[in-house]
Amino acid sequence: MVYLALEKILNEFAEKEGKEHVDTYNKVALTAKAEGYADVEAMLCAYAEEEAKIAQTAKNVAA
Amino acid sequence: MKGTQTEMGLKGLFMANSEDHLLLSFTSEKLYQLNRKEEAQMVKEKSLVELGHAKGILEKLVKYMGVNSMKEWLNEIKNKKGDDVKEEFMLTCTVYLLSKLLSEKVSDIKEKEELTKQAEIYYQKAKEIYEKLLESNINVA
Repeated sequence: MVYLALEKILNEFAEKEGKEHVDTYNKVALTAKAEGYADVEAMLCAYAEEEAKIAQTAKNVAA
Repeated sequence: MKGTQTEMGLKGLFMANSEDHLLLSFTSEKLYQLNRKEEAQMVKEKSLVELGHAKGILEKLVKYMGVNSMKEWLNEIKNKKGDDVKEEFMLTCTVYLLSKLLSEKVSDIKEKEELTKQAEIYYQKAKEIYEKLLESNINVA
């Protein structure tokens, strides 16, 4: 039962992480670029790619 | 940066990363207890990536706004109440991680100790809320 609950937590996490979270990273990166923070934009673009991989790992573990 | 959309965006991302870091860290511990060691290790590694993101974001906030501004933000979050258990978990995780990371940045020994102690308290609180979240998922699993 605990394992099923953990799977559920990871599935919910993967769904949220893969969509909303990566989108939010990209939106904030664009905002930072528009407001003149090129270093912040570069950092967030790199993080967004890693966030997508995190979502995939969570999905694989929960599968 | 103060008052910009970038500030708001970075703060929101820091909160999300704090939550994800502890959610994955606690989940990894549970998987390990269930002898799912390989999965536990994979999840643990990703929890550390989330931690790295949170640290990087805080570095930018400190660079443009200063440590004192981050201390003010910490006090604001401490006074917030979540509308539900998930929001409460995110706020608690944020106070934990912000306290921990700021404790490494302040030079005053008393302040450093207070922030470290606060981080420990909020870590335990986050763990208790996670147990509640897990329990609610066990009940529907």
